[in-house]
Amino acid sequence: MKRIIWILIISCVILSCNKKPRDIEYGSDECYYCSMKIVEKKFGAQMVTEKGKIQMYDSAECLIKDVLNHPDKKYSFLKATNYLTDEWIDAEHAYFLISKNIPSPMGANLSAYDSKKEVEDMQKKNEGEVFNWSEIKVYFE
Amino acid sequence: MVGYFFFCLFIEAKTIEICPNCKNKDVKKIIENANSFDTIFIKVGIYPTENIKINKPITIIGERGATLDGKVENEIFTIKADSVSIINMTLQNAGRSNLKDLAAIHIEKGKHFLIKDNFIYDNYFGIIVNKGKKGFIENNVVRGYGGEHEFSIGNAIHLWYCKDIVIRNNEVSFHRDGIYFEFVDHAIIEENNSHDNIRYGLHFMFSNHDTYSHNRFTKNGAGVAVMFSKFIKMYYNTFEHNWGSSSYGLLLKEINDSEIKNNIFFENTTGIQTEGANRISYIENTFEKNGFAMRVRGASIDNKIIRNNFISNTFDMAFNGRFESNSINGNYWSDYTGYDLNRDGIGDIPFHPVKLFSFVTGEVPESIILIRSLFVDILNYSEKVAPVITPKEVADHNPSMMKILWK
Repeated sequence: MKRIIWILIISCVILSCNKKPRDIEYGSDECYYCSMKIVEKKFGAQMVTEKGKIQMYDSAECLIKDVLNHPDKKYSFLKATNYLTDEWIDAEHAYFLISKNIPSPMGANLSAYDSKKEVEDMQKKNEGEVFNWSEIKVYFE
Repeated sequence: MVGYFFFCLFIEAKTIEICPNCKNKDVKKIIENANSFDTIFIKVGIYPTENIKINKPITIIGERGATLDGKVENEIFTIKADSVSIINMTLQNAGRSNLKDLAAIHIEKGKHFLIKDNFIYDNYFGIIVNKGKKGFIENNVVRGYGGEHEFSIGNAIHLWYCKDIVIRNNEVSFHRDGIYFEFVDHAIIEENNSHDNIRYGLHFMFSNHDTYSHNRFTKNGAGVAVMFSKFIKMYYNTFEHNWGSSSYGLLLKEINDSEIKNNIFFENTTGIQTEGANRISYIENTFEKNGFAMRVRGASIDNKIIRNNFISNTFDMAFNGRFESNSINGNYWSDYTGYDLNRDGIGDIPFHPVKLFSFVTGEVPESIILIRSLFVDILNYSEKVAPVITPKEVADHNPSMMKILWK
């Protein structure tokens, strides 16, 4: 019995340290930065801190503002949602488009894309300005 | 209005009737070919149609049951004109798209519109107004197809860059937000019933000088969210049954100079949650049977909490961060155990609404499972005997002995 309890405890510890992105529970998860409920599948973002804590965001702009507000915070990775496929992409290697024709949850009109081609296609269709990770951080500063 | 009659003298505005068995039954064609200021009367029946473009002032009136069905393809009405009225129609099955905001009624840059007495069912967005002014949205029922697990749906009434709009007596439900405002100033929202929406019953973003009163917000993800806005007046609303892990009756985030008066917060996980809310007056509200009545996160300064009723809430107040220059005065607290020896109706010893355990749950949310346990009783008792953490300044020095009646 004692052994089983130990196994349970250890596996809990190991599992909770597992640094993986978790999928957003739409309609129940709350944005860590703006407290808004996350419902739009095309804009969700997340940060996994060095300690494995998962923080969800309703939009990439909230993630970026949170990163800028806590420059000393250490994280394992940042994820954004690809606007076209709804899949997780690495925020630090993503391309961003700010276009008035694509309104995002927090009013920044920001959407994220996996590849340069995707973002340029979207820019052709919707106009707007393209950024990479370091440029978008400067934009929000 | 005078201009309208003047205009009528020169152009003979006529009434065109459409019925399922008439010669004229192509709704799209008839409306698009009508003259300015004509009235279109649509008799009862179902008319499959989509993307009716309106670019002139026109009135469309339906017989009860006259239905335009969008065939899940495109918008039903796309309006780019002033003085358009849509009255007593049933509008259903507008197109659904994740990439484009499609609505049953979409107004672009319209003034003096009237959307009244319509049934707007199963659409992606119900009504969208972009850059509209001086319009009325009244007595409509806007019901989405969204249920518990359907998140791909838009808002029931969605306003973007609008001014002087009145939204009155609508029933909005099963959408993302019941009523959504982004950059909307000087609007009046009253007597609406907003329920079962996935996110918020009413949602303000970057909007100023708006008033909402006598509305009812039931069973939404959260009743109302006011974010990044100023000068919002909130009177006589009811916030009830907004339950869930991140549900609130009213969520205030980065808002200033507003007034919250005579509202009822009943059975919400959190009655009011605030973050960065400054110079707000909370006057004569009733908080009953909520998990937290008021929860203040982050810096909130110069707020007044006066003459409210706090009745049977699990926690009346929780603060994290500094309390600073807020004032709490003359409220009724059902948990108050003090006495009133001089019988002036005011308790003789101050009431401290923040319980120690609310700090613990702030730090470790999971600890909420201990709430009815002996551990919490001991914790609260020890804090009462020898207060260490409970902030001394968070106190009502004039607690009312009787429930506050609204004046």
